[in-house]
Amino acid sequence: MAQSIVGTHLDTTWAYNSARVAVRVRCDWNKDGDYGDAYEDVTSRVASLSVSHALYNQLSGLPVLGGNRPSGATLQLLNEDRWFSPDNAAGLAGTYADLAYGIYRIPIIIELGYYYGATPEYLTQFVGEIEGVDESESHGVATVNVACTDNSIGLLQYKESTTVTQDALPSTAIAALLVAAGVLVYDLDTALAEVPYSWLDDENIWEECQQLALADGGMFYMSKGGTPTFRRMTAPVERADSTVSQATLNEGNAAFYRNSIAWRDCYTGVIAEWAGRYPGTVAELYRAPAPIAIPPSETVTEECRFRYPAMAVVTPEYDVDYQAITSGPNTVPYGVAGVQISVTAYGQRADVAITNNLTDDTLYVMNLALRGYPLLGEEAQQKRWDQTLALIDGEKVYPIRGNPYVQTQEQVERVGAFMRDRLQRPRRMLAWKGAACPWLEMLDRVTLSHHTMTPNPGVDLDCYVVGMSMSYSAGAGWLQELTLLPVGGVFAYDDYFIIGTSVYADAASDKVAY
Amino acid sequence: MLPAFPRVPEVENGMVLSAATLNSYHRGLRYLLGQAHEPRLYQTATDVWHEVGIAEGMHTIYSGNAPLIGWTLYYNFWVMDWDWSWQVGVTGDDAAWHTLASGSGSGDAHPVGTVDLSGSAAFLTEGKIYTWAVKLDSTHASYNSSGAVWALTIRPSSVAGWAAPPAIVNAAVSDEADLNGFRTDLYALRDWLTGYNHGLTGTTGSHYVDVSQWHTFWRGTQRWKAGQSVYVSIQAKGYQNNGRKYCDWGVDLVYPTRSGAYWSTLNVYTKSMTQAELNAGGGQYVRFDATIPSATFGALTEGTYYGLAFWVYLGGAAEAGNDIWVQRPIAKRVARVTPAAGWPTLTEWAHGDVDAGATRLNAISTGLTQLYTGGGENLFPEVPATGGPGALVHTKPWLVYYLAAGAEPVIRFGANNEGRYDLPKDVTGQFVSFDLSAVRQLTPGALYILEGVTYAIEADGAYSG
Repeated sequence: MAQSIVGTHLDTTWAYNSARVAVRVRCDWNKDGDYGDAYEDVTSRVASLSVSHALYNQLSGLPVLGGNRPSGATLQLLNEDRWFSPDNAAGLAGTYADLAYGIYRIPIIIELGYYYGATPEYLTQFVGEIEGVDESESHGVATVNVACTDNSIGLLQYKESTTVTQDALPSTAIAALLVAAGVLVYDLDTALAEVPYSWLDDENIWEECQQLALADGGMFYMSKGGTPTFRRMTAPVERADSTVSQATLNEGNAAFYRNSIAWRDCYTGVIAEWAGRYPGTVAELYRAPAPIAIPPSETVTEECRFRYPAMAVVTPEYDVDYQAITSGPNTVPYGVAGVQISVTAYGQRADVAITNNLTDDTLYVMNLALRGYPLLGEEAQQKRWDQTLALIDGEKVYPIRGNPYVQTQEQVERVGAFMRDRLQRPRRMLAWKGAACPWLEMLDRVTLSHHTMTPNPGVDLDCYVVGMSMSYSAGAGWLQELTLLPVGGVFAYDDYFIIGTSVYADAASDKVAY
Repeated sequence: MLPAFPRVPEVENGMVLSAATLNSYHRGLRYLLGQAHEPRLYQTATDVWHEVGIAEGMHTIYSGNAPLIGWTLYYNFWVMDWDWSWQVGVTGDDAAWHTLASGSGSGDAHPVGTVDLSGSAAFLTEGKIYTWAVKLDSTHASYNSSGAVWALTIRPSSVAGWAAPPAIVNAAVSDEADLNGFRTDLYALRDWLTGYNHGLTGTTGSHYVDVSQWHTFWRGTQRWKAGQSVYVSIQAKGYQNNGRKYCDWGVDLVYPTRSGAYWSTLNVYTKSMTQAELNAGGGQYVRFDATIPSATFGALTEGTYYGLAFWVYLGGAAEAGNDIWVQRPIAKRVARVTPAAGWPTLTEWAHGDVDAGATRLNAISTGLTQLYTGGGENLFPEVPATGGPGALVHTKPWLVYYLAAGAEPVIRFGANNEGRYDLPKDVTGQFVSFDLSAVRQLTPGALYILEGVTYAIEADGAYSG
């Protein structure tokens, strides 16, 4: 939702003809959680910067809002004194010893706004981490180019394994994954439909959060402030900042305007597929391909990948699920005088720790098998929604497939119907570039009013912000290009029944949604 | 797979009201309505009177197994003659007998009551299967007393989590508490269900030759549900003399009212089994069955335990020389198709509906109330304490059973139980769980016979006690 501008004058200063841009860029070089240490404010070195946030992606289009790459930022910092050069022992690398091997995964915050008189009024435009820095020099002008990724950087390659969770809302599952990755602050709408079975098997948390969100028809992304955000499918008709215009963009502050119809985002129908799961009876999940040798007085951990995901794993039973022998072969007993086994089980694998308490003999565990209660897959099913407006010629059907978290018809019923509404009419996609409006966030509603000449009637449209890129150069302006999706027709109705706001009525109530 | 309770989403203020969510309330109600109409088997009762000698002391006249699905024990039995004392109890976790209720008196009596088991957590664990029993002691110096057990069941103590369903008022601002109130009560009713489906313990073969006598070979009881019919069935075979008409099989309704040495009865079904019908089995058992319509039973009180008695009768001297074998009695409730009066009309919600108001939403509350205690579709959850081999109706995915050493457990399915599936028998002396999906011939709602087990019950999940 739109950032708060309470206590500021940004609502007026942003549109001033001679608005003076306020900028502040800080890097937490020592990663102590604050930006107050020496040299952490690099504002004076900022030559230029750009920031990009997007829910709408040209490649995946309207069907997949939010399932995109992370937000990014680039900066060009002045380096005339070679302060950032790693060879400069008196520079940054010498000040913060941890940077001796280079600048990587350094938290950064970019704030931009406008001056009100002599007072800078900033709002956060990007929070993330520096992922790469390169130093360049040309004709004596030395700069460093900094590439940044938003706070998803910590989740992009974070592999997690979990046990199987039953009947979790995607929002609950996302929260659990974020916490597992050490992220304790997030902004998650409550999702609409439970996922019967969910688990991770050494999978990236970022991708899984995206899949969970899409299973509910929602969007998962990082806010400008770096907060993991989940917006359910119906958020644009629920949230105040999406139902009430947060800013008016008119030709007076426009530098560029494009109005195009994205026919590529139109479909004559939607096919949504789901494949459920059900718990099976106890079965063998894993069998070791070879004997496992454990040296004397050591513990060996065997990583076992199951044939099926499992609800629960039976602790290996001595002399049933394995045999323990020496090379003699002599039987090794179970217990502190022989072999001991412990199992850490996840949804689709287990770590089996085998301890050899013998002091001189190598222990061999033969025919190790893991039994458990598998989660078996049902046959995939699908349902189709065809356009109701007959606006699109031919046959062009959008498939929703391959999301392992789409397991029930209930999930599909909602997502399929809403998606059909979103895709069945040609959409204008507007690009508007002008003076940056500091407080806008993804999905905010804005009013685009663009009238340049008669008899051209121009446009007066309320739109959702689905993309935002901004650029700033020292001494120059701060421009923002917004990708805008007109509100009209994104949902079938604009007067849905909102719980907590709408009143009950036997007739003429606000409309029930899918 | 068997039908399952639907997922009912939770809502919050600020959320769009979804037809899918509203319809999930309907699906939950309909699922529970189906459960209220489940084909519940009768509980096998004591075979008429069980006489206890004065020298026997406190003697078990009835015992059966049941899981502790709740903390209420219900007992319903009869005592007659002279002086007596009784106990109702359980063999607990410590393998010791624990008396849970007791009484004494003389003459005819009808002890009926419930016991709050919540104070017995020291020797009872929720979810475990226990052996429950009724004991009788003839305390008169010279004369015996007798007892007849009609019902011994475990019930949930209450509907945990239940709150009065929402009362929606038009023009009032909607609130998450209203809609989540539907969800709360649906799940409370769902959790009120026992998760088990008990079997009916039946005779494995009774043989009769005496003519001009009614031979009662099975008695059972059930808590009556208004409008129900009863499916009854036996297997029979025998020898006929000179090709004459063979014998009658009859079913009597037994009222909970003493009449002389027994109880008042009403004959509700009689089947004359002819030579040709019995010969159809070629010397093997033949199944006879019928569904006794509700009207035949007259006006009965919902929630009261009534009995059924199965008998055979070889009539007159002309039938001398005939004999009859009977086994595998089955008595099963057949609930009415239409719900009780007062059950609401539930019209499916659709995108764009503009009648999200009191009429349609309060219909959900009406349905919840109907399923609750005192409602016309009261779920009456309970698990009777039952014995060994008998009949079951396949409604749950798991079979939990107990084998003695050397037992040969077998499922017999099919119209005449001619099909056979051998159950695993390597584990004895403890309860084992078997996934019934392995027996593809068992369709949902199918009746089947189970042989060779000490105890068996169908369950929602594998037994972990």
